[in-house]
Amino acid sequence: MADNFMEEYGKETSRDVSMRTKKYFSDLFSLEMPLGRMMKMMPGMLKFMMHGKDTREDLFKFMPQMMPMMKEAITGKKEG
Amino acid sequence: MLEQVKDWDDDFYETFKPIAMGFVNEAEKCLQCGKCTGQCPAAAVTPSYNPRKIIRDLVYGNVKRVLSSVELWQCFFCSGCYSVCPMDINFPFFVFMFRLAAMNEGYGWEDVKQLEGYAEKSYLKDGITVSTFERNPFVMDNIGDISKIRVEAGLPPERTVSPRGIAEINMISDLSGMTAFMKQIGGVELLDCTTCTDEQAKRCKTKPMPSKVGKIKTHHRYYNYGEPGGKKNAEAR
Amino acid sequence: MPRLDKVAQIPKPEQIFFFKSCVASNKYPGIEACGTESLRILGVEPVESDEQTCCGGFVTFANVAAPTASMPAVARNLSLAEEKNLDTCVVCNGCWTFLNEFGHFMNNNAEVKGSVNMMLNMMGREYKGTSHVFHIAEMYYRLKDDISKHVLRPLKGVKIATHYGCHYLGGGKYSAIDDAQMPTYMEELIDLMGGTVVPYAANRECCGTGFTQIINGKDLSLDHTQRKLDSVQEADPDMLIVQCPYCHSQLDRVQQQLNFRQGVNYQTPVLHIAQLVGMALGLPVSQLAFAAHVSGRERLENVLDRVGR
Ligand code: SF4
Ligand code: SF4
Repeated sequence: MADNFMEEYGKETSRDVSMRTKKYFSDLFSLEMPLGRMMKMMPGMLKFMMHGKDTREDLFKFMPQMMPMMKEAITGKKEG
Repeated sequence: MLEQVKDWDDDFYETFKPIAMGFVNEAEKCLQCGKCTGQCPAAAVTPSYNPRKIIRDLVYGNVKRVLSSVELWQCFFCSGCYSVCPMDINFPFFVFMFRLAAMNEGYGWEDVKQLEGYAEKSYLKDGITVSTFERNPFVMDNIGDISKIRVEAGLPPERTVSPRGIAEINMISDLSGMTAFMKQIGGVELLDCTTCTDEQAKRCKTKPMPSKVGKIKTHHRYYNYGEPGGKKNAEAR
Repeated sequence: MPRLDKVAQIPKPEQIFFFKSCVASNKYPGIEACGTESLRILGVEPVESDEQTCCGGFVTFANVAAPTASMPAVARNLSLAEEKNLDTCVVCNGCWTFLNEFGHFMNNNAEVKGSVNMMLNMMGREYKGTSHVFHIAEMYYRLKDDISKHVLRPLKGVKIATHYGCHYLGGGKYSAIDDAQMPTYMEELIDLMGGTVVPYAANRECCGTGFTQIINGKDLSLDHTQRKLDSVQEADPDMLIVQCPYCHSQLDRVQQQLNFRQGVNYQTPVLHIAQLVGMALGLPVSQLAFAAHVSGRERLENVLDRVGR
């Protein structure tokens, strides 16, 4: 067992670790909506929709707002 | 604890700041005055804990040392350091951001695992994080049924959140990836050395700590900032 | 000395959104009962909503949720108050900082606010950022003239020590109504209700809960609480007043744990400021819900005998 954190990391430098950290946070905090992320949100929305009549109505009211975002995500382009 | 200066990532903090949505601002202004440590309750009970040093290491990019330390997990989140800091550095925000980063590196899962139940069983299910459940037998005997006390106080026997409210926080949690994150935490199995089978003990590389398993390997954390804590050590100094 | 300009900015509304706290509801119901009832007596009608959930502070600071998940939860809770066009009144220091700080953060970051609002729009809500969050202690200080008019049970001869807790004064050092190092507003309130303030050395020390340390680093947490309790014990007050249910639960319950573990005898009753005000305003004893307290119950009964039941 390594008895110092430097040994534990071996050859990896702080730069490698900091790159990894920054990548993690930029994924976490990204405000963009790529397709993959959109798809990940679907089950949650579905669950919410199935919850009851009122939730379904609220979600449908949101649909017009969502369509352009969907388009954007699928085509990968921002609409002007 | 020797580190080589060439190992530090000099522009880590500068490039990290814009990514972190402004949660970790202005650490570059730190005067290294140590006021934060002076009034820190965690530093009072453990000699190795020192928020000033953690800030310094973050600004200079000594990332490995911070992320693999036990000290990062000893903060009380009391905001005392922020209240005395002449430069208004909100250190508790640093701590919770870098705990996330440390988890990304595989540290500290065993701590978070113990808390995950509150989130999954109480927060997401009932909308209330602290439930009426009592673990302490003395308290149970002494207080008895809390709903009776509530009724006597003129409140409904139970505080409930409406199903709609619960559905809404569940959606927030699903959509923001928190549910998936919780599942990941839930997947960590805590192995206790006293209950380990021989097979598990052989696999276990980091003996003294509960480690691994599930999908995440949790690493052993180090006292990177000095002698391990405890009341005895604190008073000897 | 409280910042009087800050106090003057607090409105005296007809109605206020009463934000229920987890610990106050489930462990110390007296806080919730006294909070609503005392506000009613002071002329502010508390409005509750059962759609309101936990503020989400615990799960965030326990690192089970990333801020991306807790920000919409904060926005959602605040939007409930905004719907009714009301300000928010909380009883817990943690709720106060969390709602305040994350609210502040969203108000100043249009991009984040936009993405949070997208999520809220899906459920037919919107976060505007118009509801101000006030702690019940600062509401009491604002309404102190009304309190002095309504005192029915003067706390004559009751020795009271204060504990302000961290997240109100420390975490909100620019929005709180008092100075983080030498706060005095609770002392003023106690004076007003006829009590005797007992100073003690470790007043500004943290209670020792440390959010998650009581679960993850129990030894650290107990160590620290013991220091605090030692100092309280020295001053020997009849009760210790806190303004945060979490401090309340730590200081109250840990006394029993320390007594059990170390054979010491800590017996100081801990009360929330709402309960103290409720007591002075003459609320029925059942509404103070002392039955939910763990430590120093005899002493509490004794105090009740002295001030009248
Ligand atoms: S109090 Fe503030 S400026 Fe001083 S060392 Fe701590 S973080 Fe730096
Ligand atoms: S928030 Fe953490 S670092 Fe700051 S004073 Fe409290 S325990 Fe110490």
